[in-house]
Amino acid sequence: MTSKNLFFKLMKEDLKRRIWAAALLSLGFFFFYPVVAAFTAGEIREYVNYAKGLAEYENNLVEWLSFNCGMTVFLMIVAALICGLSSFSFLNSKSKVDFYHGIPVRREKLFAANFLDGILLLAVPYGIAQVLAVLVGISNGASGSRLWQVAVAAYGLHVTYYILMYSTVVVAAMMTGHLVIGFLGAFVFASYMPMAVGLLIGYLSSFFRTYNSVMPGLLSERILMYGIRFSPISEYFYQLSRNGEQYQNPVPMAIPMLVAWAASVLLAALSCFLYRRRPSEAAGRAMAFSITRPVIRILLTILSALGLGLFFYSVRYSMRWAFFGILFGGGICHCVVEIIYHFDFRKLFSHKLQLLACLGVSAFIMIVFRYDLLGYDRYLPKAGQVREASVQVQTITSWVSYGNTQQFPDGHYDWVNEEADDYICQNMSYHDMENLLVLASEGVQQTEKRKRAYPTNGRNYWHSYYDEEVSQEGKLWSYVNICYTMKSGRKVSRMYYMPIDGKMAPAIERMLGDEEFGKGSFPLLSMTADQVSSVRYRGKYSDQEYNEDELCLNGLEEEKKAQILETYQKEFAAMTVESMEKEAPVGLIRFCEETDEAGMLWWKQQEANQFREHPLYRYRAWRDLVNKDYYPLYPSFTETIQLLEEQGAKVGGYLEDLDVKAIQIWRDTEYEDSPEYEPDEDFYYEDYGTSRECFSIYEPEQIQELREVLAYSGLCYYDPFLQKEDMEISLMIWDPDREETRDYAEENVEGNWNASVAVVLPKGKIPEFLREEMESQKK
Amino acid sequence: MIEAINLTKRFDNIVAVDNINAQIRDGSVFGLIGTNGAGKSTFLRMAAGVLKPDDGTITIDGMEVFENEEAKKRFFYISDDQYFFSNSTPRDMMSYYRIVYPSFDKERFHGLMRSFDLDENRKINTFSKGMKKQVSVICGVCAGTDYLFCDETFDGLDPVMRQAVKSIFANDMQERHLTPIIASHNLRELEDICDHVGLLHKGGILLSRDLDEMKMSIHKVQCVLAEGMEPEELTGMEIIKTERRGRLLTLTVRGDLSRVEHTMQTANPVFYETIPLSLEEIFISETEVVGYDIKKLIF
Repeated sequence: MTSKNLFFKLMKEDLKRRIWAAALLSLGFFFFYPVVAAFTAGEIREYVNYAKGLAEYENNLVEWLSFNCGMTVFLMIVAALICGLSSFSFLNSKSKVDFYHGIPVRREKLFAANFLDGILLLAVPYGIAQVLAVLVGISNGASGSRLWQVAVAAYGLHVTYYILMYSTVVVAAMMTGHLVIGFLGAFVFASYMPMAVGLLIGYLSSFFRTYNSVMPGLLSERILMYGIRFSPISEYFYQLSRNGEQYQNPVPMAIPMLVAWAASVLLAALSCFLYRRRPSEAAGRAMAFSITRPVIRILLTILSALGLGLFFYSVRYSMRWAFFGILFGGGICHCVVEIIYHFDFRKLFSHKLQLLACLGVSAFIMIVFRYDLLGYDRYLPKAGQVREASVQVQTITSWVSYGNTQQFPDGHYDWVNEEADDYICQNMSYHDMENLLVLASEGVQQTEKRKRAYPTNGRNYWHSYYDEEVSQEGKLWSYVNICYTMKSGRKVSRMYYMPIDGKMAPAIERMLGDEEFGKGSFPLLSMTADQVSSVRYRGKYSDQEYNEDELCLNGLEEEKKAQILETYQKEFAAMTVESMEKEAPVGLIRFCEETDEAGMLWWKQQEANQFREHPLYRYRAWRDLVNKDYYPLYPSFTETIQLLEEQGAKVGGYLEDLDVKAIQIWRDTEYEDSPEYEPDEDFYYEDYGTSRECFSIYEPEQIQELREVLAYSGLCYYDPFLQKEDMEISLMIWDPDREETRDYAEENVEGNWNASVAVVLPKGKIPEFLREEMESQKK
Repeated sequence: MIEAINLTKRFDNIVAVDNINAQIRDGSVFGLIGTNGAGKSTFLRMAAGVLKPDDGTITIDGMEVFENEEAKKRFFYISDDQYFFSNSTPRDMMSYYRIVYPSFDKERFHGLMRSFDLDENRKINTFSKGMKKQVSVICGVCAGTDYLFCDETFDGLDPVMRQAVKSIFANDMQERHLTPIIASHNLRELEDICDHVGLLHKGGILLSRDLDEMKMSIHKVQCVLAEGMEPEELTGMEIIKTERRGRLLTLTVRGDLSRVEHTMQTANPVFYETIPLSLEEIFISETEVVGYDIKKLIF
């Protein structure tokens, strides 16, 4: 018999032995694919509109067949475990080992036959099931080309990641001598790196105040991107999350697939190597290779110790509890591992010295992080070391929209969001190092101050809402994320929480005036006239509905569009902190591109056609598309306002046009008593007595006087610097477009209102009558 | 020939086989005797290529066995706890063995199964222990290999089956020079089949001798000597052991039979006769010489 014949016969015999796995997987895939495809086809007949029903069926079937189907992912994981552990389960039994290793077949041949069978056990039934499901779909009227495309792509992807997971499970099977231990080993391989990386990020976040988890830098980006993915399951999930609605918006997968295949080949080679070296007497033992025992034990013990140490610390913010967690977590893990290794409960305290060493290392790591022995939070580069930087002052850019409108393969439009930090990092090249280091230096000082002010026992690092010290330093606090790009190419990022008014105001002012900062923070400042399709103006804030009152300037001449854009860009770039503190926006403006307009039109048509069955319509996907990307219009933008008014816009008239029946004012008042402290190592308690008072204004003259100074709250969202009086004010109005009335309208003796509009009172503009009223309320 | 040179195998701190040197010649039945834990199975597993020696070598006609397909094709290994596929029948096992042993004699398999009155299509997990052993032996014999390693194979067989198996071995030995190597803790079982015996104890080999040679060189003499004569006065033969019951002496002596008889005749005893020794008695005598109380080891 030739070697090739022998090989295929061995495969056949192995498949005979594992017919149960083949039956199980075939049954699962059969029910999951063709049966589901046939079952859901019945829904077509429930639609009055057959075309609509067919489209819905096709979309659902495509989603079911696609890479993103959650149930398929679950089946792949389960199949990898079943096939991986069963392929070499004979290694766990002495009698089976004697049998297989006593016959004249080399181990490599036996390995190859069993390994390949494990792949075929999944690939064949899954492939057949996919084919049958597509045929069922086609027979029910769905588009064959679309179904085949999705099915083939999904098959390739799922099988790729199945092989990766399967290879990992086989490695675990090779390293262990017992089925349950093999299962645990596979779990460890799949989860250790993600857990270790997650724990590292936990330590960084918990102890390093300036750890920047949102901006790319050496640690955060590399750790997140590569460390967490150093596991077959997390890599699988990562690729799934990248794809999102993959069948609608495919993401290139050639390189990830190649990487997965390469990793699978390496793992298979490793498994074969381990099998060749594996002693037959390992059958029935926990670990096949004694040299791996201390390695695995130490790695698990340290991870557990650090994990539980962090948990206890995060609950009590106490190092005593942290050490308790380390002792408990490390001790328990060590003992459990020893019991598993020896299958003997009495062996739980074997290798005491190793246990002590692990606990010592864990405690040391905890101390390094807790007391920042590496000086992470104190990091400040020299100006000469930095090539450029990106800076995100979150308060300044909290209202900015990052992203754009895109059209998807099924025809629908959606706003695709981009993370602020990603955008700023890619688009900002800030070079004013002198100014940046002033900001960073203040950030470092604030961080150190906070760390000194709050003892470790019983207090959270983050500021208390009632912290007097905080209020004395400044009123406006913000997270400032800085990412330095060093001249060596290395990236370093830090995050600070600091006041951006007060003594930092000049630095912020200087930054705002910097062209690079401006273009990096506000995408509109990089827009060019040829990108503009239309200009929209609205006086009312909205994030939920279509804004019917919006003015849409379509069909403007190119010169006019360019003039409005450039004028606005100039006036916006010239804004200062001082002016933003004093004036509130009076309107919003948006410069739309062609895709924006096309998207809005498309959704309008869906609504008009009563075609509200599009799944994204139900989830209000169009909401972002119509309400994103607006910029504030300030009273000082006189040139822009004039240009808009020439086109028919009534800038700033929203509040003027309201039919105000009353004004309600809510404010907090404090008790006379001072706060009480109960100093305790583990617990800090403070109590301010507060109450809320409300009073209403009905006099028309008073209402008018107050209205003249009020600013529309919705628009103030776009001005984080605006200084406002500490009170909540609502204009109680009669809205003729609202059909129902509110209950409280009946309580009003002066007139009826059926809606309210939130407004703010800029600081220093309280009318005299109101001041007197508030004084009398206090007494 | 199977040759072990300085063969050693350790399991953690236990030395299961300690520096064994042995030769198993073709065409003879080799018996591997020893108590539980002596190292018999370990030795056989190394010979079968299941275990890798820690030190030393074990070869078949000069080829190392471990992971050597060519060497492994020369033998069939029957483990003490032979594995059969779940829910398999003897026919299924035969099909598998035919894949890995190209010389497997299918017709002979059917014939032997009939002779032993075993149903080929019945599930093996419904067989008794003895029947399973029979299936193993039949598969082993039909594989057509030069060597057959049997680990405690005879233990589960009834006396009739034992004889049947022995006759099959004898037949194959004659026809195709099969060399069975049989490990057992029961010396009496192997007495009438083994040509060569090796005694293992605590991983080491105490003795390895040809059975005929041992029988030829050691004898038991029962005698009553002349008044006043002591056994020490008998010269010309090596007395290994003396037992007295009154004046009746039972002497275990080493030497050539004719020389022993001549010596006895010369001594002019009242009475003497030579009695054949059982394998047990030979072993006892041989090992007591080297200081082992063999009864404790093998009985």
